[in-house]
Amino acid sequence: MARKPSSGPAADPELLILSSLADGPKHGWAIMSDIETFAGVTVGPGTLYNAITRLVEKELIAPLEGDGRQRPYKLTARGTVALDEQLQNMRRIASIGLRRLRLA
Amino acid sequence: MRKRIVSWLLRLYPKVWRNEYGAELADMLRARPLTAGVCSDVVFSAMWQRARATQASTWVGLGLMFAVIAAIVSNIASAPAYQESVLPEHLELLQKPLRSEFYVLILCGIGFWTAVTGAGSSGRAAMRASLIASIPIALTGLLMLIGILEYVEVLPGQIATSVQSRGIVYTFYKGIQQIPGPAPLTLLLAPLLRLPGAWLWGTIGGSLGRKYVNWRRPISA
Repeated sequence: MARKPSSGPAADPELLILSSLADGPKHGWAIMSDIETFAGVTVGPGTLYNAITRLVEKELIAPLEGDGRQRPYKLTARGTVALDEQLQNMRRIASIGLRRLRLA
Repeated sequence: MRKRIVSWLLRLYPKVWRNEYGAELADMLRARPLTAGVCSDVVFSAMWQRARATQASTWVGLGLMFAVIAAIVSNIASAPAYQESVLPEHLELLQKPLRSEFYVLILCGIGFWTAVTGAGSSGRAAMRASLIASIPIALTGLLMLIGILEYVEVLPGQIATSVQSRGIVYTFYKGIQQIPGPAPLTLLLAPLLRLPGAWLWGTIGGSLGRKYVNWRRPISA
């Protein structure tokens, strides 16, 4: 089973959750499985719900009415902007770093 | 067994958090193997949520409590000499850490902050901090009552004896007013005796905080 890395973007559960919700609403269990699939990272249930709590408080994600005990969460307009900004920054830094590595 | 462990793990979270996310987390924990890693992740997360839910006045109270413990321990471990006729400020603080002007300012500050953040009653918040801070004083009184801790009175010009020669003793610096030493029962009841004062200072801070909030609020047309 993939482990949680200690540094880098894959160590940020908030970023992973926002990225997971970018293609549509998901409930906690689906977010966890999706993160394991696309990032190869296992986020513990406690860590996942702590991050969900913070994201809801920051109004970056919002719970939807669910029919079962598991509520789906969706990205808010503010969350979409925040995720886009963060990913653009990462892309810019990554491209500069890679270009310099090639020049070195 | 699994159901019991999950319910025990959920109880570690604050009630407000549990009402919001408890059912979802419980479902997730019931659906996956409860390894030591998963359990420790949930325990640490619950502690984090508890710390976040703890009011500022509780943290301030804990800080003050450690200051009181430090004052009591330093008095017992190495009581300084009493050389002057007037009690020097550092000895005054060592003897009465919760009677300084700084302490009053802290209680006012708690009241102010509680009013500004709208986190409930300012007086009650200051009382909570005072109660937590006074716990070591009550424990000192209890130790004196059951005979584990003695106290010696030191007069101006006297040098406190070392802990090796006198054992576990609290040194009381008797001022020129000749105030009697601490009565164990008074120390034991100190947390309760301090409540009215704490409420008063917290309420004063709270009324200042409300005035500040009204002053900051934009005047609507």
